[in-house]
Amino acid sequence: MPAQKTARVAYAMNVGVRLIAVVILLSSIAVISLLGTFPTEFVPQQVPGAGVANALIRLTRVFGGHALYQTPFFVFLLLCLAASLIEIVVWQLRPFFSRDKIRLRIGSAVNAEVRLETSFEKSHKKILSAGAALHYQPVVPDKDEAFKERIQLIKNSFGVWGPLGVHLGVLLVLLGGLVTFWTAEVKEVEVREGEALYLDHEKMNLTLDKFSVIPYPGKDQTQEYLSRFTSKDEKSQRQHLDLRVNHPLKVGLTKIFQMRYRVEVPRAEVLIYKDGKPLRSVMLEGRKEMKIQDTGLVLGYEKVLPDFRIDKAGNVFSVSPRFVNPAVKLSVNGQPRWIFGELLSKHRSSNDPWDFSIQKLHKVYYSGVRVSRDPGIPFAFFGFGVLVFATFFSSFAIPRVIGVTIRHEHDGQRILLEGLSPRDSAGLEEEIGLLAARLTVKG
Amino acid sequence: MSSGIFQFLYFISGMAFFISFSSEKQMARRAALFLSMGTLGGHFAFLFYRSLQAGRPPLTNMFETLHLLAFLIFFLFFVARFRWPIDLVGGFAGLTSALLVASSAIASPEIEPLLPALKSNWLLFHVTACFVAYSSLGLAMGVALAYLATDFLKLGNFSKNVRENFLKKLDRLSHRLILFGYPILTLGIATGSVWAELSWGRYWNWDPKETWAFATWLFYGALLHLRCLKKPRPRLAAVVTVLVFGSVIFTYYGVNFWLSTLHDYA
Repeated sequence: MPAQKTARVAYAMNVGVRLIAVVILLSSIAVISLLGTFPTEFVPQQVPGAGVANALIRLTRVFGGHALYQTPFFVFLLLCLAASLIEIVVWQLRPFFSRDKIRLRIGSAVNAEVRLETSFEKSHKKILSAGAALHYQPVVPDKDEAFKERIQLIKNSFGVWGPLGVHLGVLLVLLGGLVTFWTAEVKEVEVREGEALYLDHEKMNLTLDKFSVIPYPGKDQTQEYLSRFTSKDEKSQRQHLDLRVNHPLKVGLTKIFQMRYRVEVPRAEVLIYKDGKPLRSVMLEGRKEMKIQDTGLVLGYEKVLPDFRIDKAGNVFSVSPRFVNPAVKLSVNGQPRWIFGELLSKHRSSNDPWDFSIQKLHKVYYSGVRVSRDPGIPFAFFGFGVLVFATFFSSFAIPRVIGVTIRHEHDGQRILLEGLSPRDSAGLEEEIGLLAARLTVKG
Repeated sequence: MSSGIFQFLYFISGMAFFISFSSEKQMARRAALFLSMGTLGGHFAFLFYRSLQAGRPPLTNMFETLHLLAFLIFFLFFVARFRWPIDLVGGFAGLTSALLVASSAIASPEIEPLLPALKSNWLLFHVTACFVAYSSLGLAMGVALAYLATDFLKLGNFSKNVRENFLKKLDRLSHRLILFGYPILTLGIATGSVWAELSWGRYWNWDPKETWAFATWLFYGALLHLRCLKKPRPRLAAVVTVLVFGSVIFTYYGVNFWLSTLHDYA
């Protein structure tokens, strides 16, 4: 018996040390991972709290800044987590291959004692019925006389699968992450309207026919970004494909995602006014100066705002990326000047006979797409599935074991209740109290 | 205007539960219950009406999510009260909800059309799961605060045995709430990952919001492991429960204000 007790104490200590190690590992990974989320640019000293912020930023930089998650150190931490998970999964799987399948390894024991002034047989029956009322199943077979004075009541025995599933789920997600890290091919490309995107693995060309920014009816807000592609495969078969945000295109194992867009204005048609009267329309090319005959003007443009506003100081700024109300920063004989769809008096000089307005902007859209081929996704998603299912299982089906010993005494029976719950000793204590209360009720 | 009304109602409900806890009078308890039922009913009607107006659930901006969180925290307390009738927790829940509704003043109450990135069926699952989890973990934090207040400040007129039993109840409730919130947080992260794969082409981007959610998940994982130790340490668990909730607050609130994130619209 002392050897058994020593073994139990050693076992409990082993479990305690393991748990503390897991707590430290999880907390360390959590804290270190947060360092990659902070800014890496130092804050000016005059800003309140700059000292603390800069110390944090210095620490962030030591750990690699935003690139932390690709550093060997962080990968090593995740591998440590994976190794720990493998060890735990193997450890948790062991009871499933042993005869004692519902053995609970960890948890705190809770005790209670009840006296019953009835016969052994009646006490035995009462224990079973009280246990059944609380949804406990007896494990030791009644027919075995040798074990009749010791009954094991078990509830939610299937709950032992929960923690195993949680650890296995995290492991699968990490495995998916590892496969992604090593094998995924992800690139971001900008496709100009009329240009083609070649998908190597699928041997397919995708030509961007048109990119559109679709607004909500009657509103300025964007409802949808739409890239219309025509695909052409090796057999020259063509197909029209629409790409939207949240609706990726799947071509074989390659997926294409709508990410962003950009607009270029390679040409702008500008109407020249002299003394307030329209004189001539000219087509300007971006960043190229053009001499306008018979006027002495040299015109060019450097910047186009899609949706301008003017503040009280007269500064022109953009409020949205949609071409609703454009403004062009024109260079007139080397002097910058904002021009708009209409003539705006605020931006006109009273001594200058020349004025300009935008007549037409030739826009070319670039659709920013992400092309991804990631074999890690099935592992990660399967892992997430297992993880979600198992965390629910683990939280809502907590296994409980109550060992009941019947001691025969001269005036009745002494019932000893001893419980063990790996994750909810307080809940078990409550249930032992309920069981004891049921046993003491007469009838 | 509506925020002001609900802020007041939650505050009054919280106070009513504090009074009920300290006076232990049936009338005070009934008054607190009726007041909180009215508050919850009114707030639910407000959220429902806003959903009808917007044509979508109230999950897409800071104003809506602050109101939703306030409602969920108090609602969860109300449901948990059937099993654990601890009015002290109601006081904390009421004050937290009042504070959340008050802080919605910094956000625009305008109903804007959905951004293309938010037009997905995953919005409902991901955001709802996250906010149910936040509310559960938030309430667990409130219960842990009640535990610490009772333990250290000797709150309430209890004998030693009654105090110990009361502390046990609080500890158990806090643990159950974390056990309820944790799988739902896991679901929120997992559905977010599926949505990120559809929307951004990567199921994990190490975006600050994702990373903070991941860290929060690990912190609570560590807390649950701490709960498995052979000798229960409820006081330590209560302190840790309060501390790790800071990570939930930063995930929800701080990331959007101080860090650059793909979740800018949230």
